[in-house]
Amino acid sequence: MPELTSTHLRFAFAQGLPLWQLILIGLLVAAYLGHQVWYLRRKAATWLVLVVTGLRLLGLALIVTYLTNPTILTQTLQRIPIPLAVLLDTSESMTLPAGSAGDMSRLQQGRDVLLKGNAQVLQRLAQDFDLRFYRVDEHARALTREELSQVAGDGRTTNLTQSLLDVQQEYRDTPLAGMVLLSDGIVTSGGSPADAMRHTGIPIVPIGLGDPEQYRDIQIAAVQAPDFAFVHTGVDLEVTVKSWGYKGQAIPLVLKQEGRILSTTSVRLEEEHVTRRVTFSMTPKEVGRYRLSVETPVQVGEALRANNRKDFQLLVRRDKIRVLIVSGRPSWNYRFLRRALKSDPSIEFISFIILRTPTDMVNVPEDQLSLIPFPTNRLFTEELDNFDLLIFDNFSYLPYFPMLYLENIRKFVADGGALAMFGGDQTFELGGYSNTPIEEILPVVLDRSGQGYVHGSVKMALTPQGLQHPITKVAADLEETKRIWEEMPALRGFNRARRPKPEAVTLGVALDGPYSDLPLLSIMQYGEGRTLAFLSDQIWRWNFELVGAKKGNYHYLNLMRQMVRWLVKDPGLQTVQLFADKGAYQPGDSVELGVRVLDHTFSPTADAQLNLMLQDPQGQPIRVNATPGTEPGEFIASFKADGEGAYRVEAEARQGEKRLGEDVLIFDVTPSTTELTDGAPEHESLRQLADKTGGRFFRPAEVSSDFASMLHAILKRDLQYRIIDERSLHLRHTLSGFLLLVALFGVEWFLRRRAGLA
Amino acid sequence: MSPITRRQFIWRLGLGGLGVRAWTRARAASPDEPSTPFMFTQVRYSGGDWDPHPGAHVELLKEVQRRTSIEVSSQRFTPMLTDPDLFSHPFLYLSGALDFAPFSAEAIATLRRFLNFGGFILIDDASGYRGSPFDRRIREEVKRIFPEHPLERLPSDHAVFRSYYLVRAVTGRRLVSPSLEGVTIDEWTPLVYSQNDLGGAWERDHLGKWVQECLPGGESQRFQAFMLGVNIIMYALTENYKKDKIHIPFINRKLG
Repeated sequence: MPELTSTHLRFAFAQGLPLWQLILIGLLVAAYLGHQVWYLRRKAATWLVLVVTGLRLLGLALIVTYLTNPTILTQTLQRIPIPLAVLLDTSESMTLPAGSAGDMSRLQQGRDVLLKGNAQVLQRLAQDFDLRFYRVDEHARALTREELSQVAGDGRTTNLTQSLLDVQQEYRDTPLAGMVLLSDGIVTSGGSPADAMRHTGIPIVPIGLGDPEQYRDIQIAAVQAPDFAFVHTGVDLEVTVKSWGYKGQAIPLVLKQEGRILSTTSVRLEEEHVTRRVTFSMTPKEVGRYRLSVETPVQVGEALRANNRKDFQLLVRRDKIRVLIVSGRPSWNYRFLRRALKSDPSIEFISFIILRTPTDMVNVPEDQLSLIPFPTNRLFTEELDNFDLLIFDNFSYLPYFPMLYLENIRKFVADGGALAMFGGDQTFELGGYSNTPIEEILPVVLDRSGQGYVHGSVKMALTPQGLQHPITKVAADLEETKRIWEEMPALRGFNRARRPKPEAVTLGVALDGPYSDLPLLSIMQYGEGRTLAFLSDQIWRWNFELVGAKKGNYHYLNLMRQMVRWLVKDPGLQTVQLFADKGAYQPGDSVELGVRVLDHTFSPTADAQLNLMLQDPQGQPIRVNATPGTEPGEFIASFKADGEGAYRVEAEARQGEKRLGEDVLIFDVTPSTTELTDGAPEHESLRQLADKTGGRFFRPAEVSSDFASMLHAILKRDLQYRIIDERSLHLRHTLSGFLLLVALFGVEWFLRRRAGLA
Repeated sequence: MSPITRRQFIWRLGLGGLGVRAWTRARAASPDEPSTPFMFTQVRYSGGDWDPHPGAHVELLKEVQRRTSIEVSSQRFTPMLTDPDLFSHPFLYLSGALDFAPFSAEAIATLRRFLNFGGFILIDDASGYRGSPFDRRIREEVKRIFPEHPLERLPSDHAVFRSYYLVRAVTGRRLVSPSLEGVTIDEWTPLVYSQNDLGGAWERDHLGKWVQECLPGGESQRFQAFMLGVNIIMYALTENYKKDKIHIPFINRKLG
């Protein structure tokens, strides 16, 4: 056991002389002695001259030496221990078993390394080093030695790079012998610690906790899914499976949608540690946000169970809005509608135009006509559900198909489809739709006066609902919307309807004249679907005549696109919109929910009643109260999400007895780290850290009683001392020094006298 | 019935007049009256002869009405290019046989906007021979309207040749050019140019006789000119409808 204190003697000159003075004195003494030798050589024997001169030289040299105040120093020194940082990983992964399942935790293993055998290792280290203890996870935090045995593995992140840099920063002004890092090597955030520490000059000695050889686990490591998929279009989901310790086994993988099995497959694990990729294919049948999971059963001896399942979401959209247009005859209304829809890449349409009626006489054989059959049977009995929107543009069904197909159209709308009917002389009651299933779903009551189409100039004025509705609200500002509609050219004809239905919303009415206030544009919800009646075939004038007035066709294009989007219930045009303040949460976070409620006219509504239903990941309801926000139609709610998993929120808004709409939101509450998803010890990264910083990697079993001396050899630090006592002896102030000088000159004087020299 | 005063009589007379006015502004259609009939709009211009075949449209429109579902107006609208009502009629017909005064810059800008935003124009050289003064003038004016888009021959599978009839021959009163030319922008051809005097082939006199003979093909050539005329109007109203995928296999089968 080395002593901490020691005594040392030193000889020193307390008062130095400048070199030039020493040289000058040396020259004078040499000249003097040279003269003495030359003078005495003739009077005495040579040996006597040399002895006398030698004694004179010694005497003079002693005097010159005394001028520099020669001193003997006696110092008592105490060795100063250099700080050595001992870092213990306290992230959550350290709570995993050190070896196979049932073993002590890695954290306990780390403690044992330091404290076993009455803390021999620490005691030995403490003799040479000033031990400083730290816990490391997201950052480094100092610990006392007593806290070392109590600290918990609760760090949600392992950022070794940041932690090591934290410690290095603390010793930027004082020497640090090195760092001893006790960790399983799992890094969940930050970069490579080896790269970060390689140029700091601080040797790091990692002690790798856990045993990679004994680790057993199966992990659904990742699911690669696109951000969104298209309905009715196949999508591939690539699943990455990692395994440790199940060589030769085949494990099943299951793809589920909210607990319902969609697909299964199996993976054979050929090696002890293997990464396999498996692809699931699925074809979404509906639009919406899919809550999916990939799972594999828990195997015997697995270190982690939670990582046998991976949840993810898949947003399924329409690839295109599919529109079927049936036009009663070629017309400018069709032409400009076609151009508007064609210019929107999200819309795909098929159109059928009646180019020849049964009464038109053809003067060429059929093979010289480009006409194709109108596949009414296929369209209205088989294919209708493949479309999102059906547009009847001045089209009468009477010559082409039976009323039975109209019933199919009614069902199509009731089930969520959409119908738009544009005016003209062959539609509404002029098209024979009175008392048909189509009249039932139209937003207007058809006129039966026989004056179905009115020729004449009429402007459309927006109703208060029209000013707010996304179809007709062509500008962000209401006044601007009003101004734009006032500038819209007059229509030169329209279909007369008796009145809008009570459940319909009329967006535009005839502005003046004898038909003032008759509906021109009305909409309605029917079943799950929507319908629209545009009671004119002159809408194209809002495009081309406005271009002629040098005002562009933007508002017409916007009107048509918004009309299509509203009819197909584009998510951006929902009446109830539910949103959360963040996309993902951690357990314990406060979740702020917001709901925006518009009435059926798309106006913010102050008297809506909101029912907010919240389910925790186990499907249990959570009580949440929504309170009105600062704006009309706004509601806010908040709750604390304690448990991990997927939370489901449903908002349903009503206005009196009338249901305004609903929205659903699903969000995840997950720990922010992957500490407990991939628990395999990463000793290789610790080895790299040791190699790049000049340290050495140790296994726990290699840490023995001579660890301290091994550490000395590794760290190669010079010992540092502090002087705790110092004494000095000035020779010129001693009697023996004086007597020596007198003796030298006395003997010389005596010899001179004996030889009769002066 | 109680007697009325003179003042009441005058008031009622005035209200009655307003009622008549309202009726003329907005009136209910008879069951057979089309809501938006196709209006043949022929461009008037200065210099030259803007109307070499004044009756050409009559017979063409009859043919359109008789053979297709398009409802036509018997009236012809003849605006100048600067007419404020020009954009109420997206189909224009411009004909002539002689040189004419270059269009004003305003007319050129208007026509460019008209064609770029969905309008259509059929230009018909009525001279009956290649390199006519009208032809030279038209080519210069088209360059002014579309400096970036030259007149080009329309391919035989262009939608204008299959919009109603399957037209295999480009004819007119004369066979000056075996093809139509046009300016095509983004798959739509807003300007179609014929050098074969289509109007000459369509025109009858008041007694019902053809005004001019079609050479060299005679009546069959005239018949083809009518088919092409019907197709051009159909193309203006339906754009590339016949290029939609659903039509292609049917048409290809018929074309063999």
